[in-house]
Amino acid sequence: MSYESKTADFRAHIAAGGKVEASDWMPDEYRQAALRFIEMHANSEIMGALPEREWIARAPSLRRKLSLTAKVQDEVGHGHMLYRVAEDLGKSREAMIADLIAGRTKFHNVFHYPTYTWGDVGVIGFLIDGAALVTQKALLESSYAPYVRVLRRICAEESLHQRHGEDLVLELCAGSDEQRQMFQEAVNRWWEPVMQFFGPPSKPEGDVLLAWGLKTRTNEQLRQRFFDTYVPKLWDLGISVPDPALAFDDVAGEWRWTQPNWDTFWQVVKGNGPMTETRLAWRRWMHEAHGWVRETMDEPRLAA
Amino acid sequence: MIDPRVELLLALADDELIIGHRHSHWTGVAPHIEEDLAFSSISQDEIGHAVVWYRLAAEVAGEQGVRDLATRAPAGGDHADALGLGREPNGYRNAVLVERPNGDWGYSLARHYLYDVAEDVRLTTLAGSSWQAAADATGALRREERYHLLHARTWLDRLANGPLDARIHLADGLVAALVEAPGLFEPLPGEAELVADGVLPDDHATQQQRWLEAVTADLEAVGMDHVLGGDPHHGGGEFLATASGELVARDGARAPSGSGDGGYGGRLGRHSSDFDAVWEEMTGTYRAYPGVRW
Amino acid sequence: MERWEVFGKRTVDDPWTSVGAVHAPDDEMALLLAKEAFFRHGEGVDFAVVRLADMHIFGRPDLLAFATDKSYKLQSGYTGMGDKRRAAATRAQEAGAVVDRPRPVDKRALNPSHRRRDGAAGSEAAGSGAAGSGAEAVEGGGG
Repeated sequence: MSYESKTADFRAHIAAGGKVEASDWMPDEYRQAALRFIEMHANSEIMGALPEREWIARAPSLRRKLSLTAKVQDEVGHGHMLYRVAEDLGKSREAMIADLIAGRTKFHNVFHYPTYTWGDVGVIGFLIDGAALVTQKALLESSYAPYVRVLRRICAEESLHQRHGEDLVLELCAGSDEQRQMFQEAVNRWWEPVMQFFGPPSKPEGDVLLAWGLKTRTNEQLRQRFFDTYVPKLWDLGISVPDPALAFDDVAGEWRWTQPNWDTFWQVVKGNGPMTETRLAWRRWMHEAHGWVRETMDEPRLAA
Repeated sequence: MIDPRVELLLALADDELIIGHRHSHWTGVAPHIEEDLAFSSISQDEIGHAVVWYRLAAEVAGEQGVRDLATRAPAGGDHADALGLGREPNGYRNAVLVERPNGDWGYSLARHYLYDVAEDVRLTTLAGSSWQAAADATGALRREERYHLLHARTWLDRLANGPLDARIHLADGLVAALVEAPGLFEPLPGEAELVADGVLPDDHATQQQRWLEAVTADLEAVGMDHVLGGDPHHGGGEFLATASGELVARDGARAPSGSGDGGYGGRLGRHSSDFDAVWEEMTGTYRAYPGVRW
Repeated sequence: MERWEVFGKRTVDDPWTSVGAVHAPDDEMALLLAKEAFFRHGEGVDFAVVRLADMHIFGRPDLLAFATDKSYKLQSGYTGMGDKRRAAATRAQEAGAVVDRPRPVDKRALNPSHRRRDGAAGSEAAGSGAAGSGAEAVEGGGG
């Protein structure tokens, strides 16, 4: 059977809602798209640990210190599981880490930004984890079965994180004027990156991930779902969103919103975000300084 | 005059909090991704232990006692937070060893090992305390401690039996940490009274001896006992000291770094400049917004 | 005779899953016997045996159980969310900060006026106390 006809059969299998396993034959384009997508997801979990871990040391109570540590730990655990899935598509974890710290591969735009206050921890825990949960739940429909299997566990942990984030935010919003302001300012800072997180409104026909069933929802569908869940919650907490146009259009049955600057988004994901180089340099330094540990792990233990 | 039992609990709790705080810095950046997860759990356990001891200390000290100790804490706030985050720097009783930066993984690992053997000795001692509440509290902590020891000894063995580079990193870490480890057993204010009452069944000098014996046995088993002589790189020569019982750390001349006084001072609230950085960062948010809930 | 743990795969890509054990003198015999013990109805596509003695068993249930408070790692560690939501919403109302912009009808909205839009879900939702029902599913709750 020719490559073309095998590919045609594969497309038909995907179109019929079929799933793909690691050892199945798959077109090179599918393998490459799946690897790139899952690798970026794994990178994002690992890099997403950095902005939050800055606040482990500064958490305002011991309980929050513990819960934030446990949460960042879970994100690292997600990276661990996702790299494992990506490995089976043909790239070693070591190579993926090397590409990440060299700036050759990408991670989500929101993890390129600095944090300033505990309010940022609230935004990350509530809105960014919320946005991630919306997208990850939709990915449970993905055509790549090994990815779906780890996403089930990831989603379960993410819904715990989401609750942790909401709990933290509710405490701020029920608190002092300063606390409310702290959260409001953080929402103002993060709103545009959160809108960008979902990606630009895409044309379904041009989206290779949709074509292969790796994703099944468009960026805009996910963003609308996010609005449905989170915007009314923010408004009820007396937290405004820095988009004067944001409102639900009853007639159209969807939210109206203002497009952010997509040039900024592309600049950021290409590695020109405000914290990109600082965070990568830090990870690179830690990685290189501890190459000896990994070498030790690769060597057999000497006989006692 | 602080109740000697409170001095005892603060020493325990502050050690746990500060080492847990330092360990938690590895979360997200540890040298091996699976190890990142393991070490993070250990940091969480240690902070959890601190909370257990702070709550018991608050019961002994009472509301006013907590206010007196935690001058930066709001009235009516959580007692564990008040004691953990609301004291002046010189109110903290942790040993100098635990406030040092993480540095190299070899140092962090060596400190983790030496600390957890010490914690095991302390908890085992306290399990026999005449003070029932303290003795009872050790049960859950010792259960978690078993994993910490398993973790520390597995890594010790793996590094000691690893490539030369790993042995060097481990040896350097052990030498640097050993110098200040005696501070974990610095006598407490009111120690004589605690011992007389049976609250502390064995004094810290006795516990230190027990700790040194355990550490010596472990290091001999993995062929790393030369570090007890303060020399990281050579197994032979006149500096090789083994289970002599004498503490190399008391000899400042051989200390490669640190305070040169066995890491003492912490139990009296005297800390290194490294603690200032810990305190600024760890208590900063709590101090900046007094009295609010988080 | 030695015990061999048997692991099967339902499909080629399934992870190895324990299905049981057989007693056999060696690996060849264990494979031979395991096939009919566990796969005689056509279950799965492959299986493996591991000598029990070769399994590295952790064997420390005490280390797997939580000893101190770890509630911060569990959903159940974040309780009273409904009350907290109401408290924060009340705080927002007192501050006059609630944002009243067009939004979809939501039966669980904290502000009663958003449950009654168009009269659609009116009395039923207003009386149900749904906002405080815990609303455990934080995501997709707008349904």
